This record gives sequence, structure tokens and C-alpha cells, in this order.
Amino acid sequence: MHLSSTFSSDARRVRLRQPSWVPYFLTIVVLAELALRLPFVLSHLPKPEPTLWHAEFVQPKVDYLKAFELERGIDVLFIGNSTTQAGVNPQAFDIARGKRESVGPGSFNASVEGIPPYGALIFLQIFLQYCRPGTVYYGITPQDLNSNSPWARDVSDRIDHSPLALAESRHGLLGISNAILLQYSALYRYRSALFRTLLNGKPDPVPRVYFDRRGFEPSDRNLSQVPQGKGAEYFDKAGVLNYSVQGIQIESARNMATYLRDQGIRLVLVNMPLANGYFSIFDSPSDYEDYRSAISELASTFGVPLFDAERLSTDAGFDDTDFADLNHLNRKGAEKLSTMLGSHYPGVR
Amino acid sequence: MLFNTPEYFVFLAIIALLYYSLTHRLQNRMLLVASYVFYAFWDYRFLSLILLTTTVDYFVAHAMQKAKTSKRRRIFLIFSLSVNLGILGFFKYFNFFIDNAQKLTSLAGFHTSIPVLYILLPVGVSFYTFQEIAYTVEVYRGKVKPVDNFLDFALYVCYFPQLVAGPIERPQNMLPQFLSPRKVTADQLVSGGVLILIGLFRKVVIADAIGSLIDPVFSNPGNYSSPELLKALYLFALQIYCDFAGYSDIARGTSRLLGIELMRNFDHPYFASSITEFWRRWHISLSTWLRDYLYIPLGGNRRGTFNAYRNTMITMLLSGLWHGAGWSFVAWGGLHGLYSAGERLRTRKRGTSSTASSQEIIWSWRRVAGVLVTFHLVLLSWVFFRSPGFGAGVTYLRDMAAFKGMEQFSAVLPGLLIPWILCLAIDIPQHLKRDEVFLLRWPKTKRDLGLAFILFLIILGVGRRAPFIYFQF
Repeated sequence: MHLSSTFSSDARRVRLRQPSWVPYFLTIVVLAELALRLPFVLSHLPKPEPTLWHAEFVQPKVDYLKAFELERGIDVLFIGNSTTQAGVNPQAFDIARGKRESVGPGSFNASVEGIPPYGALIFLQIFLQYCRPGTVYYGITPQDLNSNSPWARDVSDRIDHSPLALAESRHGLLGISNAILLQYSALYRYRSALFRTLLNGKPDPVPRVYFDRRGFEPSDRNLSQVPQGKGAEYFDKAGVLNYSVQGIQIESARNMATYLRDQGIRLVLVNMPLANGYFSIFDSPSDYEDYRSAISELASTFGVPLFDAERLSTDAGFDDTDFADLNHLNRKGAEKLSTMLGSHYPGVR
Repeated sequence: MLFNTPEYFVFLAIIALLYYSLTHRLQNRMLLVASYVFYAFWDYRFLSLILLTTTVDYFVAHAMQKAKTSKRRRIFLIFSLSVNLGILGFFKYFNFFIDNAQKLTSLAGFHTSIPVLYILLPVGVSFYTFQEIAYTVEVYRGKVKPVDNFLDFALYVCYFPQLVAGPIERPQNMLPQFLSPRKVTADQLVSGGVLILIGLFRKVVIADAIGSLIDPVFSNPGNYSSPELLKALYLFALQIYCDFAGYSDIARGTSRLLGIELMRNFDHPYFASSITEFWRRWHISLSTWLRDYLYIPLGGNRRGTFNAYRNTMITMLLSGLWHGAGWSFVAWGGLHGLYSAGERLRTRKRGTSSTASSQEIIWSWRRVAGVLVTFHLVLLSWVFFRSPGFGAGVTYLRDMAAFKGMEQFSAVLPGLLIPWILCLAIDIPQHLKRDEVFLLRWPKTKRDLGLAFILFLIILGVGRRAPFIYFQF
């Protein structure tokens, strides 16, 4: 060891001295912990949730899911990103599968905007704490599986570092320890809400919820009425940049299949429909084939049905009038897809 | 690995323990390995780029020293600059130039279809490229001797605290520190720790929290009232300062713990009373780099009035382009060029220099007015810097000036003032006392309470995963 050669003599003394601010810090923490247990203080603070990144979108979804589960029960859950959120109308799905309206368990669209498979699995773990569906439909798109997508990487990274998401899903050791902290520490639970209230001088506004009580986000935009070339502007190009199906996203899709199999829940993969213009955005025509092979392989490996909407696009005549933009169905398209999915339920060919 | 994550502090603890246990030579080798590991956390593939430019510049520097004629020295310098700027240009600007060339040719009636390449930008490429250029230019000028040992030079290029977002160091400052044995003093340990704490406060408590508030506003300004747009703009000015200055504080604090002093990168730029002074306080390592390796070689202010204006404008436009391959960044640089030119013109007419006022510590009403005017000119330029494009910047300004929904003015004030007050609570004492770690001079109880409270706020705010804004440059 050469400690003495690196430090000057005075530095050695500093290294050994205990920082005198530590007792003050601990006092502040204990006082805050106590204060946050007083009803008077809590009545002046916002709810501890929504808190961290993306919770703004997830929390109302969880609340609606809980309410629907309580009211009727959920037997089919749809998950995915914004394409599924906009592309599946649970009501139309239920009607098509012959369920009587507003009676008995129904389907719920739990898709969350911007979430690749890595996040979809974590949020699914959260949803399944509040409901027990027999079937989970996973709406999947090419950009979900692109390992080079900076968007998917960024979102995964953010979710991975969102203590609340991890805690709620009990995901890994970090998730479990966060869950324990959230349960027992008022300061930890209120940390983000308190911080944002302090910084803004007032509680956060209630987020604007753009999906209905069953999680469906209808759009009345019509791609066929958008000037040519303008449609591409709606599309987040990051999704197909430098396309490569490998790594964490496809791995997460496999993990999801394993997880649901272990839970005894049936998984159905849905290859979401895309407008014709979408394909021009790929760097190479083989990119889409890579994606299709990956989801076909996933379906066959786990023995799960694959509902291929690309086939539907041709067979059932999806065209630009069914799309809001290049990869999001509009209200009409969602009705069409949901009806198809419902009419094939429960066999799902 | 971001500076504001637990992973970084685990990494730092391991590095510090190893570092303090090793002899000087081994410390350097360990720092080199640690720096490559640090970079590999971002993207290991781009390590090859760093290795390539490091190798080229190492050998070029030696070749320049051995060259017998100045012509040969210049050829070697041009070769080094071509490699460094070529790589930077390809990764950062290729698509920008191709896109604009296509637009230009189509305007002229020719339709070309040059393929656009989807290129990932290597993290920190703009920073380490400039640092390497500084080395080769200084060796060319004969002010720095080439480093004998390749591994020592490699450490100069990729020293982890300043690798991905600066400060852009100079060989005169860094090489002597790497080449001689270091002693870590008590002052360095304590002030390094406090600098890291202040940096985290700026980044976590202020910049990250602001980011989540203003991102939706800049993404969709049409949905917001004029007071909300104004608030978002004021907050962005604070965010970019706290983000970058916070990063620099953590970098300098980290390095100080290892006994290596990095140059100061920010000196309270919003207290500047002129644009010239602003650029002496904002991103100091870049502005001095541009001064020494671009503005002065272009002729500076020595070759007539017109050339001085021209050189200022070129420097500012390139400074904008350095920040990003987009017209909005060019517009930002252009605005600063115009401001500087205007200031130069005003100074010439009045016959006084703005530098005189910049040295004043005592605040006069004239200085306060200068600070306010300068700040708002800078604020205006941030619109273009933050907006996704030049047109979007113009739209933002137009919407802001439309005085829409002015009744919301009082409602947006608390959210605007509190972050600024938090920032000024650090900046004003630092500025007035001319002491970055002024907290350490406070009486013991006040100091300990202050440090504890800062740490408490950091812990409240930590958790959001927002990368440092300047990494993208």
C-alpha cells in the first residue's frame, strides 16, 4: 500500500475525521419522516402518486384498470405501446366475441404509450397485481424490437431507473427493496411529490388523461386526408433507424412469454397493422422480414398464437382511411381490428 | 454511466480506493483503464475511434518534433487536423451537409438522391477531438513537447472525469499533472467533495426537475399560453446552465479527489454585464479554445475593423455548429455573433471597453442594467438553441409575443421563481465571495446544516433519469 505517498499529511487527518454534517442530515431525515406521518401535513400535500417518469401515463391506467376490475372484472388484457392503445377498442372486441355489453368480465386496454417490450413486461407485472385475465394480447410493432433504437433504449433505461415502476412490479432486488422502502418510509413515498411541490410552489396539475375508462385512445385523424409525405412526419423515425432485431427488447418479449406461461395466462401476439407508407421508412426491405421472422420464431418457440395483422392488411383491406398516421389506427381502423380479434377469440387462428 | 447515478459513485469509490493505493505510474495506468471502462459503458464500439485518433496524434506529434522543415511540420499538422475533424465531421455533420446539399441542388433544379446514413453520434466526440487538436497545435507551435509515453498521452485524451462533456482541457494544464507524482491535500479532498455536492444540487435538484416541466412546452408550444411559454424559456436558461455547470462541478470535484485540477468551465455567466463577458464566463474551455485555435489564427481583431467583425461572426457561427448539426444552432451562434459585433461597434463609438465593467465586483446600477440586458439577449438566443428547428424557434417567439392567456401570469410565477432562487442561493455567495466552496468558510453549525440540507434536497430530487444535456454535443 502506498497511501502515505499519495496523501499529504493534512489529508490523512481529513480522511480519518468523521463528517460533522452527518448528524444534522440524519436529524432532517427523521424530522421529515415524522412530519410526513402527521395528518395535517398530508392533507396539504398531493397524493404520493403519480410520481416518477412515465407514471403520469401509467397511474391513471392503473386506476382505471382497478376500477374496471372492481366493477366487472377483466378476462382479456391488451398490452403494447401507443399503436395498441389507439388500435384496440375493448368494447368492439367484446361485442365481436359475443359478450353482452356491460355484463360480466370484459377486456381492458392496458397499453402504455412509448413502451418497448422491456417496459411492457414491467408494467404487465404491475397490472397483474390488480387483475387476473385469462388471456393477454400483446400488440407488437417493428420499432419495438429494434435493438438500435435510441428511443427504446432511452425508455428502457428510464424505466430501469424508476424506483416506483420497479417497486410496483417487484422487479428484481432493486424493485423489492424499493417496495419495502415505499411501504415503510413516508419520506421515500412522498419524496418526488414533495420535491415537485417544493419546486413548483404548488402540487402538480392532475394529468390530462387521453384514453377512455377502458384504456382505449381513439383518434379521428385520417391518413388518407393527409397530404402525401406529411404522414411520415407523424412517425418517430428513431424506431427503424439502423434496424436490428436482437438484444434486450426481443429478450424481454421472450421473458414476457415465459412469465405469462409461468402464471398460467395465455399470451396472444398481435402483429399490429401498418400503413403502406410505413414500409418506405425502413432502411432495407429485409428489415421488416427480420422482424416478422423474429415474432414468428417467438410464437413457435413458446407455442403462442400469432395474429398477423400484416396478413389482415391485405385480406381485410386495411387502407389509409383506417390509419391516423403511418402506424396508428384511427377510430375506424381500431373498430375493424378489434372486431377481427374478437371474432377469432378464443381460438385465435 | 451518468455522474448523477449510484453506479457512478460506486465506480468512483473503487477507482479512488485503487488510486490511493498505487504509485504514480500505476495510478496513471489504472486511470487509463478506468477511463476506457467508463467510456465503454456508453458504447464500447466507439472506443476504437478514440484509440485511432490517440494513435494518430501521438505519432504525428513526434513526427512534427523530428521534422526538419516547417513545411513538413505543417503537413503533419494538416494530416492530424484532417483525421480529427474528418471523424468529427463524418459522425456529426455528414447527414446535415448531405441534406442541405440536396435541398440546394433541388432548388437549382437538379434532383440528386445521395443516401442519408443513419449514424450514431459517439458520446463526447466533440470534446475529446478538440482536446486532441489543442495538443497537436501546441506541439506544432513548439509550446508543448510531445509526450514520450503513449499510455500517458492516451490518458490525456480520455481522462474519465472530463471525457464525455469537458472541460476541454489544454495540454499545458493537464500533461504536467499526469506526468509528475501527485499529492492529494486536505483542501482538495474536502473542496472536491463539496464541489461534487454542489454539482449534484445543480443537476438533480434544479436541472432535472426543470427538464420534466419544460419538455412538453417546447415540444408543443401551440398548446400553451404566453406566460407559460415565457416561464419555460426562463427555466430553460436555468436548466442548461445548471445541467452543464453541475456536470462541470462534478467532473472537477471528482478530479480534485484524485489530486488533478481541471480548469473552471463556468463562472456565473448570467452575472455577465456584456456579451463579451458572458463568453468569458460561459463554457470557458470552449470559448477560450475557439479564441486560441480559431479566432486568433483567423487574424482576431488585428487586421482591420471588417476582418474583426468577420472573424467574430465566423467563430460564433462555428460555435453554434459545434453544439449541433442544425440550423437552429447556427442561428443561436449567429445571434451571438451579431450581439458581439453590436457590442464592439458600441464600444468603438463610446471609446470605452466593456472589460472595465466586467472586473467590477461592486455592483452599480449600470452593471445591474448591463446584466439584465445581457441576460435577456442570451435568453432570446436560447429559444433557437432549444427549439427542434429554426422555424419552430420563430413560432415559439411569435406565440410568446402573442400575449395569449395573460391572466395565467401570476399562476406561473412560483414555479418560475423557486428554481431560480435555489440556484441563486448558491451562485450569489459564490460570486460575491469569489469562492466556489464558500460553504466551507461558514461557521461550523451553519456549514454543517447547509451541507446536510443540500444533501437532503438531492435525495428528494434524485431518481429521474435524465442525461446531461451537453453529452449530445
